[in-house]
Amino acid sequence: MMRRFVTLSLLGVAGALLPGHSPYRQWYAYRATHLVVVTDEIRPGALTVAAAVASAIAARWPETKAVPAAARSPVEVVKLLTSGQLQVGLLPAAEALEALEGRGRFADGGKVALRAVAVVGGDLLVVLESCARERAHAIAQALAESRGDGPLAKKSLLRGPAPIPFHPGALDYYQGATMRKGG
Amino acid sequence: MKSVLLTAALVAAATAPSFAKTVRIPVTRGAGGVPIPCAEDPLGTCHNRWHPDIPEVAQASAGDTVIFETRDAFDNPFNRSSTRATVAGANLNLIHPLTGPLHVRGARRGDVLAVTMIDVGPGPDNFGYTVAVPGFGFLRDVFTDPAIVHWELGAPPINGTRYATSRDLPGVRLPLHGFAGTIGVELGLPEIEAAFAREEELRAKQGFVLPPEPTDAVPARLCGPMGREKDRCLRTIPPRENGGNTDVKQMVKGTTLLFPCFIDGCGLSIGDVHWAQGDGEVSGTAIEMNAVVTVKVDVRKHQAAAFGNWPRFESTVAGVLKDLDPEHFVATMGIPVKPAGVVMAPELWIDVNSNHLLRPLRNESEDVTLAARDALLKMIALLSGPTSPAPRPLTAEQAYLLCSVACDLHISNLVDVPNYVVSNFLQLDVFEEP
Repeated sequence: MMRRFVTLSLLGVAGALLPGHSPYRQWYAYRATHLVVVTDEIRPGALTVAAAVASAIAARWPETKAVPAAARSPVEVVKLLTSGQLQVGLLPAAEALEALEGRGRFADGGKVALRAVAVVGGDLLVVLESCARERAHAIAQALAESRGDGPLAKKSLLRGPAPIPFHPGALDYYQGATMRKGG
Repeated sequence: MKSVLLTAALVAAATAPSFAKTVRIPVTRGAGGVPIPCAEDPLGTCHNRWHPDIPEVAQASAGDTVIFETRDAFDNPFNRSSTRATVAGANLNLIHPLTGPLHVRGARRGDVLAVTMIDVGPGPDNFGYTVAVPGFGFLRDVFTDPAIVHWELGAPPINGTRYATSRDLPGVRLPLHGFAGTIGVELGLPEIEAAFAREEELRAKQGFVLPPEPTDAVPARLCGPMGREKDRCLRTIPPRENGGNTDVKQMVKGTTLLFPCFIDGCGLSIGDVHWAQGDGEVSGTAIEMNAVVTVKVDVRKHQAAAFGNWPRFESTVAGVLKDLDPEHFVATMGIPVKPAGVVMAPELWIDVNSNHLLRPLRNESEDVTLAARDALLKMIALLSGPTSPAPRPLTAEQAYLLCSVACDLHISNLVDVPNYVVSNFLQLDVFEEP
């Protein structure tokens, strides 16, 4: 039951309940067949990192069919999140901070309530503040418990520090993991 | 060759009156001749929502020839290196960037704007694509993964014909039958309100309606998150009284499209141009390309009411559709049957609102949509099966994308209750000689 709950959370049921300008839920129902980790295509290697993140999530939660995606730019990544089209983004830490503060290339869109789920090298895995707590928790767990030598190898770095606040769901996981380790 | 002669004749006819002139509405191009994004174009000739207050970008008079340079349907995010990951990250709020609106002098609300298609060709990059975007397309419940077919839009004509070929569909080639997937005029304020009201009514019943979306709307000043009309700038995806995204493949050169004018000047815009498309455009896309479209505009005074304020299209030029007719073909036939327990995506909203009437049925009544799905699924099975007419069997995904650009779904009968028939024609000429 818990696994099903987490899976539903990961698969964007929350997306269908987004307020405001949410398109028809069928759009989400099929688009959310996959949990999409979107990054930008400008930076060489960014898609490889997104693919590693997606693989880790898919390994822990196969039902999500997590896949990487490449948008035109970091600005486009943020727009995909804020418009509710996709739910998980991978951004350079500095750009995530700019989006949070609504400055630089993100000035036109205003401040965006981004929250970190994990630090991956120089990038942040981000979701919106409105992301379900269980979803953020499950993603953080999947990355922390992944195996392999890739960009996710250094588990201790996943929890930060980060220049933007962590999502409470991710914090739940990291703090719980610390307690489990300490206990 | 016939196509070349037709173009020459149309261009000559369009430019015959000595007083007529040619107007060009350009786009700004970046690397490789690809248009830069709509929102970033300093020329300001692009918009991606419908609203009568969108400023005109050019003017022409009746009898003038107008050349529209256009972006592709997704605002050119894809190129020869794009992958499934690029499709998965597509921003659907950018659809459709349109070039315009063109103000036609002397045209008033209540008139009809006649737009004769003179020529349609690809932009300088000669690149096209067909994609399946998760959540969109006729079989969105069957094909849920992102997919892309890259097309090379053949440069040198062979015997007057240009072909598109693809590394993703070896052995397939499609001739240029270009048309504007989206072409239309601005709605007036009363028509905006009427369309919005009826679409909201449907959305409340869970119909597949995309409401106004300010994010990435162009012009942002009017339609964006801070725009004064952000809740009334209509999405371009549904065709309406103004034409728009009709995706009618027969609107090729030689045809004349007739639009009722809802505002003075009419406000003609064009985009979402297709190299070729099947009747149905089932994956949600045709062979999409940025393009150069040449038209001649004319005004028919006071005729909109006689049109019922709806668009039409016509041709008095003999043989303009002959190139679309198949010489050799195979066709499947579909009727409204399905497995019990399945509700196809386009009818989910009916099923929900009828207390799940459709789900247990294996046969639906007088249902053309389900018959079309049946005919399409049978064609996909044929193309991917042991008797496939393709040079080598295709995957189901390849077959779906091929059908989107080369299969023609035709209504065959609407009387043989309860099983109306839809036929699905595939021109065998799309397969190159071995």
